[in-house]
Formats: sequence, structure tokens, C-alpha cells
Amino acid sequence: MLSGILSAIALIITPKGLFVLFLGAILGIVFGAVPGLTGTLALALILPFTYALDAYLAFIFMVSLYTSSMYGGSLTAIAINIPGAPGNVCTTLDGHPMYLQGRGAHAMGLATISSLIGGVFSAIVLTIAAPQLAKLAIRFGPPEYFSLTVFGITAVITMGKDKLKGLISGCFGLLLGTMGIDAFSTLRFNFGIQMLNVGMPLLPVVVGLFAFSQVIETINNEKQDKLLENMSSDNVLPSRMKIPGLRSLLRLWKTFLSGAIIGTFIGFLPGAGGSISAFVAYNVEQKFSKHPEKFGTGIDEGLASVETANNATCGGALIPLITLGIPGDQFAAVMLGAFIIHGLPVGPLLFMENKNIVYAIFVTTFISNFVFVLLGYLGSKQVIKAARIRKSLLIPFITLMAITGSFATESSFIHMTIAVAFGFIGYFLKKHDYQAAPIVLGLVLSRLLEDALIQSSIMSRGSWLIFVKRPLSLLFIILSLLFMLSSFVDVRKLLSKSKIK
Amino acid sequence: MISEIIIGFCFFGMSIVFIWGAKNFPSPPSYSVIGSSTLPTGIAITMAICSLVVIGRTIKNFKLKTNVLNEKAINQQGIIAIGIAIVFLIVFPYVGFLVSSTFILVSYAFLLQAKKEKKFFDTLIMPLVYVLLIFFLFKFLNIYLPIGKLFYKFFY
Repeated sequence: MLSGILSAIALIITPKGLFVLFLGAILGIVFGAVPGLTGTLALALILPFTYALDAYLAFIFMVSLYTSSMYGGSLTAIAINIPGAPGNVCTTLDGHPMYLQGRGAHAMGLATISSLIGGVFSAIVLTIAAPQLAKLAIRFGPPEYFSLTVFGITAVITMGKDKLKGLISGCFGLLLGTMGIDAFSTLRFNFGIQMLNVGMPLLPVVVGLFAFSQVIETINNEKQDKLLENMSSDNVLPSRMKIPGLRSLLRLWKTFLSGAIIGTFIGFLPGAGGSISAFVAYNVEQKFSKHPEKFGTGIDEGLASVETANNATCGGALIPLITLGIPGDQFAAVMLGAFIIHGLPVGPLLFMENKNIVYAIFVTTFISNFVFVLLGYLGSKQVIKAARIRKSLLIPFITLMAITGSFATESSFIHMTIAVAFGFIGYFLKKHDYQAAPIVLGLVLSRLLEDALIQSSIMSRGSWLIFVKRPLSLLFIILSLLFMLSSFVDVRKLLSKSKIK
Repeated sequence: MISEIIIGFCFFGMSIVFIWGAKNFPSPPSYSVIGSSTLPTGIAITMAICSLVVIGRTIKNFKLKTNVLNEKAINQQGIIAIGIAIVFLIVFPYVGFLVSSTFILVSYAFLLQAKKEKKFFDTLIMPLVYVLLIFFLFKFLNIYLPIGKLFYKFFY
């Protein structure tokens, strides 16, 4: 392992490696900070262009983008009370009150260090746990892959607000994945379009669902921009954040530890993500605090717990992604597409055949935290100003990136048409609480699911008991059922009975 | 409510299309009970049932006047944005990347500005800058962006 890590460090500290590392961090912070934009959107836009990069450079870029986007939203959440991303909603609860009390520089510094601690913790867990889980995954056969895929899709579906609509989204994605030539060389559902003989292309669907739909939503929803434009320009932004002293950081060690553990664990659960981990960490911190009534008034523990958990989800979410091919959150779901685009397997094969990529991911997950700390320290004021950029400048650029990205990879007008069509579909579905992540996941995992099912049926000579006779397969089926049962008990409602505003 | 039901029926319709299409696939080979139609049919049936439940639930909520969404799914600006995107797709093969992209970017920049303030810089200058930047960047990277059938006939 040590030689792998050292090789990865040698790859990253080349001019190209450092360039993509810093570029990913800058884009991640900016996209994370600007309300309405997310790291997932940034990845959807940039994904087609990563074709031109070597695989290891592409993943250094993506991981750096990922960790930094989780951090970027905290700056705007603190300074202008508008979370940059869903995971930063809880940051506003104590972050903005601190800002209003004249402690904005301290709040930003604390958020930065908390994000660093959470990110580093989960990077270490990723580095230690992923190889062990990959060794376990070597024992997986078709029945285990089938049950695991079912579990992954179930988990993503049941984490949404409306489970039934999540199931429909998942089924929609799975059906899209059945298009094209199957394992029996049968041409299915190409609707007379030759380009669809190889199946529904992933990139245009991702670009459409995440990027183009956001363009339409922003044009449709003027209010968000007016809110930002009407923000008083008298809002004095701190020129530089203030990194808390060692004593005040040590006082918060329990907060950091619980946030990091919660974030890493929830990140590991398929379909969860930053917003849930931040929510849970805040709630836990408040419950065990000696002064729960102070939460929401600008308390260090409130901010630290949220930001630590938020960034800790990154490493956690990457564990099931690279070891089992099951994404931990939306960003990881799109990143799964990146593996496919670059022709890389996920799971134990990745560890066997592409160790340099694996260690590059481990090391980048660790180092990128320090990169965003540096960039945040130097440029937080500029980032917050960038968040107030006029939408009439930003959205046309995103539109252009979406158009050219979907066209350029295959020089295909049909791909561009698919992207625009899925932009419309994604917009209307989002408006009616249908999530995009289950669609993408269904599309990505459909072939794996079907191939595993076919191989399992051949192995068992048509008996369905094979899925319950094998212990690991049975475990994933039980987990799927537990996730489905949990959808009958609304966890959010239970948690919201606490004193969170 | 109506848009919710329409979406439900769209998913239901899609399920029927896939079930119908799967009927024509060959039977499973002798060594497998799973064939080309098994998974698509199973998923489509699941989606059809769920869609009907969502439609039924929406109608029931409307009658009980609970969880009724009063907000419109899309306003005039959104409809115009979609219309512009459709026009873009229609003209793209004929006028190429430069003209069609400039059209869509200028239109969107125009839509995104306040009614009283239309900035010349945002509406015309920056979209043109973006398009030219991307065009020449892609030319540098040897990535093809079409000039369109009309201009192709003109120049060649």
C-alpha cells in the first residue's frame, strides 16, 4: 500500500496533476458556493471534457471537485444566509448568526477547519477500508452482484422524499438501460434510431438531467436571482477568514470526532449524502450538548458538527463506489458514469487492474482538503462575490457547456438532442418530486443487474433460491428489505421533532 | 394536479410501450429461464402499477384538498426557454454551431434579465464571446463543431 500511495503522490505533484487538482478545487468551491449550482452539476458539465484527459488525471480532477464543492457552499451559507448546496442548509443555522454578530471571519475559519478535519478523517477511512472491502468483493458471484445492485437501487430510491416516485424514477432509468443489444444479441427498444443500437448514451442523459434542467429551472425561477441581487451591497464581507486557535479547536474535539464518524458512515450508505449527514450530526450534537438551547444562536459546536459531517461524507461515499460499484450519493452516481466512460471496471477488478487510479483517488481525497483550505483562506471574499454573479452571465455559459459537452464526445447531433430532451424531462420531473439520481443509477446499473440475473439463473438452473442460499446475497436482500421498511417510518419526521428550527 | 396526472400517464404509457415491445422478443434459450423480455417486462409492470397508484393518490388528495400543489409547473419564461431550445435543435443542422449557439445564448441572456434593465453587455457581447471562445478552443483541440448545411453549400 505504501508504494501505491507514494506512486500516486508522484503522479499528483506533476505539473498536470497539480493543475487539475487546483482547477477541480476552484470549480468545486465556486459551483458549491453559487446557489442553484452544485458539484454534481459541475461534474455533469465537465464529464464529457474529461475524455481528453488520462484516466488518473480525470479522477484527480473529479475527486478534487467533489470535496471542494462540499466546502464551497459553507461560505455563502455563512455570509449571505443562502446555502450553496443542500448539504449546507444546516450551516446557516449557526453560521449566519455568527456572521451577524460580527464573527464572520471566525465562522468561515471554523467552517474551513471543520471541513478539513471531516475530509481528512474520511480519506483515511477510505484508504484503510476500501482495500478490505474489495478483498471481500472478490468472493462476489452473479447472485451477489444482482442482490447488491438491487440494494443500491433500493437505497437510492428510499432516501428520497416520495418513495413511490423514487421507485418510478429508478424503473425509468432501468428501462432506459435495457435499450440496445442485450446479452442474447437481441436488439431492444431502439425505436428505429441506429445510434440507440448500442443503448441509451449515459453522458447526454446526465448532462440533460442535471445541467440543462437547471438552466430551464433558473430561467423559470427569477426569484432566486432577485434575492441575491437585492442583497445589500453594504454587507461587509471579511477580507480574510480567521483560523481558530489550537485551544478553541481542541475544545471541540468531541464535536469533530462525532461529526466525522457520522458523516463517513452516512456517506457510506448508498443514496444518503451531505444533507442527511449534516442534519443528523447537528441533531446529535444538540441532543448531547449541555446547552441545547444555544443551538441556532451562533454556537461553535453547531457550525463545526455540520461542516465536519458534510465533508466526511465524501470519503464515505467513495468506499461503496470504488469497491462495489454502488454510489454513496448523487455525485458518486455521476462519477460511476465516469468509470464507464473511461472504460474502467469498478469493484475488485479496479483494485487488481488499475491500482494507480485507486491510489490516486485515495491520495487526492486526502490532499484536496488542504487545497480547498488554501484556496478558501486566500479567496473566500472573491468566492462569495462570485456567488452573486448575474445569472444572465452564468446561465448562458452553462448552456453552452452543456450543448458542446453533449455534442462533442461523439460529434453527434442525436446526443445533443437527447441532452436537451432530458433537460425538459428532468425539469418537469424535478418539479413534481421525481429525483434524477435514481434515473442515472438505474441507467448505469441496468446491464449489470440483467447480466447478473441471467448468469445466476444459469448457475441455479432456474431456481430463485440461489439469492437466499448464498450468505452475502442474502445479506444484501435483507438490507434492501430493511431500507424499504424504513420508508414506512419517516426518519426525517422523527428527527424534526427535536428543537431544530 | 393536472400536470402530476399527465406525468403519471406518461410513465404508464411508457410502461405499456415497453411491455408491448418486449412481447416480440425471442423466447429464452434452453439454458436460461431469463430471456430478453424478462427484465424489461418486470420493470415496466412495476412502473405501470406505481404510476397508477400515483395518479390515484393525486386524484384522492385533490378531492380531500390535501397536499394540493398550487404552484404552476412552468411559467411563461420557462415555456419560452423550452421553445427556444426546440428552435435551436431544428436550426442547428442547417446553420451550424456558431449561429445556433449564439441564438440560444442571446435569447437566454435576454430572458434572465430584469424587465426594466436589459444590459447590452450581458445580452449580446458575452454570449458572442462565449461562443467564439469555445469554437476556437475546440478548433485548437481538433474537435469538430459543424458549420451547418447552408454555410457548407455556400463555402464549398
